[in-house]
Amino acid sequence: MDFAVFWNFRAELTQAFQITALLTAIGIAGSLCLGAAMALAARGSHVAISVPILFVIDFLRNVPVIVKLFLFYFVFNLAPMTSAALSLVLHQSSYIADTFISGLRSVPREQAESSYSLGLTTPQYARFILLPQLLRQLAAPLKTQFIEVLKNSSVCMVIGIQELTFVTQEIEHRTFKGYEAAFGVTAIYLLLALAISAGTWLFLERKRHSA
Amino acid sequence: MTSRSANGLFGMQLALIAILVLILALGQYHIVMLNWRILLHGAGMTAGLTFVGYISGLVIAFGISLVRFYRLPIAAHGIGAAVEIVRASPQLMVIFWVYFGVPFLFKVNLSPLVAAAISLIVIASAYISEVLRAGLLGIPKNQFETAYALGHSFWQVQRYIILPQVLRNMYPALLGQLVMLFKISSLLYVIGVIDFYRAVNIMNNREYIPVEAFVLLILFYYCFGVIFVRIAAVFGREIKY
Repeated sequence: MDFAVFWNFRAELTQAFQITALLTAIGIAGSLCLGAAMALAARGSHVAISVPILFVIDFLRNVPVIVKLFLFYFVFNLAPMTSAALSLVLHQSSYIADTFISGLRSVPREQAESSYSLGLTTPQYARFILLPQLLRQLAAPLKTQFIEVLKNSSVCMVIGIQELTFVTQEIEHRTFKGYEAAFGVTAIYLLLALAISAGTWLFLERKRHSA
Repeated sequence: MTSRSANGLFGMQLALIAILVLILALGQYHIVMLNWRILLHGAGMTAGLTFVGYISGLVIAFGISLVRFYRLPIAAHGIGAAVEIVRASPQLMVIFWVYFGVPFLFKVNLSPLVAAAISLIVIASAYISEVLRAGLLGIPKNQFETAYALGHSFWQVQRYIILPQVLRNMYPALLGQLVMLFKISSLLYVIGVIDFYRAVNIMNNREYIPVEAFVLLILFYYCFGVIFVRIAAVFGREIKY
């Protein structure tokens, strides 16, 4: 094994790391907001809204990321980064919406009724009753979904975004050291996944009782 | 979900498929049909690779989940770490490991097709083993004790008592893994396998009909996810394990 290849490609790898991190951050933030919004709409009492939203969630889940990239990049002719960010957000928001729907379902309706009868407003109910329970239950599944964004960001190489997986292939093409490259880049991905895991713990799980 | 909204959902799914077919029929359908040979090849490749990966993955995953469930001394930790690494790294990286790593480590030449099949098997066994392990953990301990007390051997217990329950309880999750594997197979073209995604891309590069190409892709992947899984879910209730 020849790991000097990493040092030779340090500039490319650093830049690729930044792009992967940026795409993952955009993907996590966007899909969390969109997913939560879709879950609330799907749990609402208006069938005319909830069923189409469920249909959209189901549609987004059943189409691979690579096909979404194809849509934005080849059919709509958007810029590569825009297509990548949109695809990642749309793809993961469907899974996050499903996570939120099952979380919302697990909180009994009686809790809402009792809090209203005790004089709590809707924002107070959401802040003090619903959210602490949701965070406790959803911390672990949401962590999985966030890591999934990181994993899916590697697919964006197919539209020419120079992130970590793209650089792996580039190293292989230029030096035939694909094995070393794949090994090292996997280590970087695992570190990023650990970082996401630690971040979720810091912001969601650690605060679970005081949120 | 109430049955009324479930019906509404299914209606909308069918309507979308109908609209997509209509778009295809009103569009450059004849140009698409000129490329039927490569499209059929790609569809067969995707289906075949998914099938091979899923079935082999299921068998290997059952072994992995047993090793981890019974906590065999060293193997359980080693395999557990390997499963976690495969699950935490992008699927494309797993494909690269197999395609670049196996020839490097074992000094053999791998054709892209074999590398694709191996990487799908690796991915499938890692993900499915977690599903099966969750199924094993969900079975009450006294069932094992009762079965042994009645004189069943280890494999008899697995085959007649445990496996049927695990498969039945985990049927929806296992179907979900099948859909996931079907979608992952669209990544295999990076190592030169002509699967359905690659075939559509080749057609698009040749004819430049992006809308029709996109509609084809959606029809292929969406129909599998919606229609096949719905049929499988209905039949799954009647399987005798």
